Amino acid sequence: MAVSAFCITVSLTAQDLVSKIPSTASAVVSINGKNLLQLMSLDEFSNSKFGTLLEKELAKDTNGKLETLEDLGLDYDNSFYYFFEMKEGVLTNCFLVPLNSSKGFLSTLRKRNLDKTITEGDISYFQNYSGDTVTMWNENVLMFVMAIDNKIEEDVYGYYDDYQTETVIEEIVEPVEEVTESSEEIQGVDYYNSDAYKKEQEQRKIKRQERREKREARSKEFSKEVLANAKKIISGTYASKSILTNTNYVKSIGKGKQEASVWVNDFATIYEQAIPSYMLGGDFNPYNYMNIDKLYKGVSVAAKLDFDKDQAVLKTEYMMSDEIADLYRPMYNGKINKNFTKYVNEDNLLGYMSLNLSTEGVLKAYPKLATSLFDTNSGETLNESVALGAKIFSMLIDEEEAAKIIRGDMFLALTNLSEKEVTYTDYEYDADFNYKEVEKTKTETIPDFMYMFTSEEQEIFNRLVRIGLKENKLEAMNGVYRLTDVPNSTPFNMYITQKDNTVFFGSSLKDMTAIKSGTFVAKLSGEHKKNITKNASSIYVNGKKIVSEIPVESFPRDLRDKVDFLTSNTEDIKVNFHKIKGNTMKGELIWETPSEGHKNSFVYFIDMIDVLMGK
Amino acid sequence: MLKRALVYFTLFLCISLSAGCFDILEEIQLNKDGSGTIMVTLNMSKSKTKLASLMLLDSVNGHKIPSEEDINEFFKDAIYHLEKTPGISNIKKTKDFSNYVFTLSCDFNSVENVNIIFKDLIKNKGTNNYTNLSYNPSAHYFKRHFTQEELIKKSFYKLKSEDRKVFDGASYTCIYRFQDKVRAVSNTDAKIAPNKGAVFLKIDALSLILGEKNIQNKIELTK
Repeated sequence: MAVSAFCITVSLTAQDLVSKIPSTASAVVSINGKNLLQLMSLDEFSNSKFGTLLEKELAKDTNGKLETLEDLGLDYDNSFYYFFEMKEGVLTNCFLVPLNSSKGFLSTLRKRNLDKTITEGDISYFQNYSGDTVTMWNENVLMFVMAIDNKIEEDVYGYYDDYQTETVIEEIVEPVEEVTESSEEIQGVDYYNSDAYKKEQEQRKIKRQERREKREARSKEFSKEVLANAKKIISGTYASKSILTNTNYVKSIGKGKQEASVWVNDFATIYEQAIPSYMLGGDFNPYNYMNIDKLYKGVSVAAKLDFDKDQAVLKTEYMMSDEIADLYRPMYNGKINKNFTKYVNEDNLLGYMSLNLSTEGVLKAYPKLATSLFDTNSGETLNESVALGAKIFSMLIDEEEAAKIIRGDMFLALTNLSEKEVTYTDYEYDADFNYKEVEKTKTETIPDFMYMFTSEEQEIFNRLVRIGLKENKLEAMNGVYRLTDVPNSTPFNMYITQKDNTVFFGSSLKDMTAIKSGTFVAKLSGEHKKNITKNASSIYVNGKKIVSEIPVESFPRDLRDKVDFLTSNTEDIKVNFHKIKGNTMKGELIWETPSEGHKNSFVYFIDMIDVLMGK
Repeated sequence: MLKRALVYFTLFLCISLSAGCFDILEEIQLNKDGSGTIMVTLNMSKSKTKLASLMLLDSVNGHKIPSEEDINEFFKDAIYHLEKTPGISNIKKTKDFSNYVFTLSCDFNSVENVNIIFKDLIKNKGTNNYTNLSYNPSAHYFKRHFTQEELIKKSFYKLKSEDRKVFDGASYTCIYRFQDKVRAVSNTDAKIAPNKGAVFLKIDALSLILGEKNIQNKIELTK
């Protein structure tokens, strides 16, 4: 109900160019001008360094006829679209730009294009030489249509097919020709001057000519088709069947509050149609031995970019077929070890990454996935072998036991930059300048890291430690073990330990000892805990802390005088991939921005560009 | 994926946080008959954490970072070349990849043999000045030649300031030992040992590159 109400609302705002996009479009990208203008007015943008630069370029390109972005005549208050459509081997790319008036656009055109412009009623257009690109406009919309005809390409390659056929025929008649050739050689007649060769060349010439004519005819026909299609798009004659009738698309754009969105539908069709048919032959074609459709059928991706007051959010949704979702779901359905969050102190945290896979799920799903992908009913040895291999793999591997060694959930934390003592070789000289090598120490700033993963198999860990100690690869330090065999130049020591069901691998002896003795002081906000435990994967970058702790002289020269700005204007970045729900996997990237000093996150990025652009 | 993320993150911080520096040590023991021993040491241990990280990369700022194999290859070439040079014997090398200290030493029959090595090394580097060492037993002096090459200075200025940082704290040290006593030295930065048997000269790499100081030295020996 809400969806259809939205359709009506959008179609009622007649100026919205979305109604010109056919329901058969496979991909749609939109930029919502109105939403962007609410974040930053055109005047504000024009006054930014970036805006000023654009206007300068515009004035240069139009010999001063246009001076401001306003002069360009674009209707910035409306939405800009790009869509991609595939129909009967023809791929169409189309850009739709809303206009207030075409005057500004006309000023940007070169005389050559103005001369070939045709006006029919309220629309004007010109086509390129090959006819596959149309630029068309009226007073409300400017449109660029670029089409690719796979059929034309097929004809071009047809030449080689014919040539090959002829060669085969030649080979068959070879024994007869050999006799003729040898007698001709005696008479001193060259094969290339023989009548047979000349006849053959003549025939090829005729065939080439025929093919060229056919190609040219198709090209002309295609040029007309592209133009007709462009006229259809600009008039939006399929209004009843516009993309707004595609529920998948309408659902993906939601309430339309985002500043930009991307929607790609049905990867299987794109894959099949976008690759020209002449390439779908021979050994390179995965369709020959793999069931690619299984992987991509029903797959669609939608992304929305939202600029809020203090964060920019990119949300993505990956939808797959029920069959693939059933295979993937157990892989991402791991149980995260809640102990991970007990060994993190966010006061020292530079960033983290959590991964919550299920080894059991992966080991169970992969054989099924492989069997399913190679199940083409062809009876080929390869396909049968894959199915057999997958079956044997499943029988030999005890997924539950394997998952006890590595459960599949893991966590990597980068903690504070600490000063480490590093040794180096120097020389000491006596009075007579005889010298000896001495080891000296100096301090360097290096980050600590801590990597944890779940393993319920303590016996394996204990055995490995015993071997390590015996072989002098480990040094025992009160339940923590130092790896002794790391290169001398490694900037940190590496330690390993186990507690409860978790194996720890890290560079801080202090943290490792505290974990083992149960004295580690943890501090982690509820939000981080939630992100780590509820998602399939979560990444966090503490931008402010990293920027503020790196010494100024370590920044690239051009940025040094901007370090203060960067320090006070860098916030956190978070990326979360949710678990698969139904047949959808959602992800989000959140770029936090400071609310002070910038009206909103969009203005923040424009300000940032201004600062980085320098004077 | 996690391992790669960790390596890149650590690399980023290590590259950012540690300044590079290195020392070159040139040591010559000269006998009365003009024969002797030369040892050249490259000590990069002060930058070892940075080098350990850098060597995992192919190149930084467009400069190729030699791998362990590249360095081994260089030594193999150098030794092959030394073995073919007349008057050179007892070639020794040490490679310490943990501390990044590398040495190459050999005995020579006369300093001319050493000049031939330098000549081949310098060849095609845009300079014609091949004489590095000379010894005149009758006039009782040993000379370390050095000409400030504009090319080196220019190349240095062509480097970005971040890349120039590698020369901060870098030094070039020369130690020459003689069987005769040293009477005088021409280089004002050089020091004569109290026992008069050796001369020591340490110059920071930047002064050497920019031509503010040099390692040219005429060492006069007692008759």
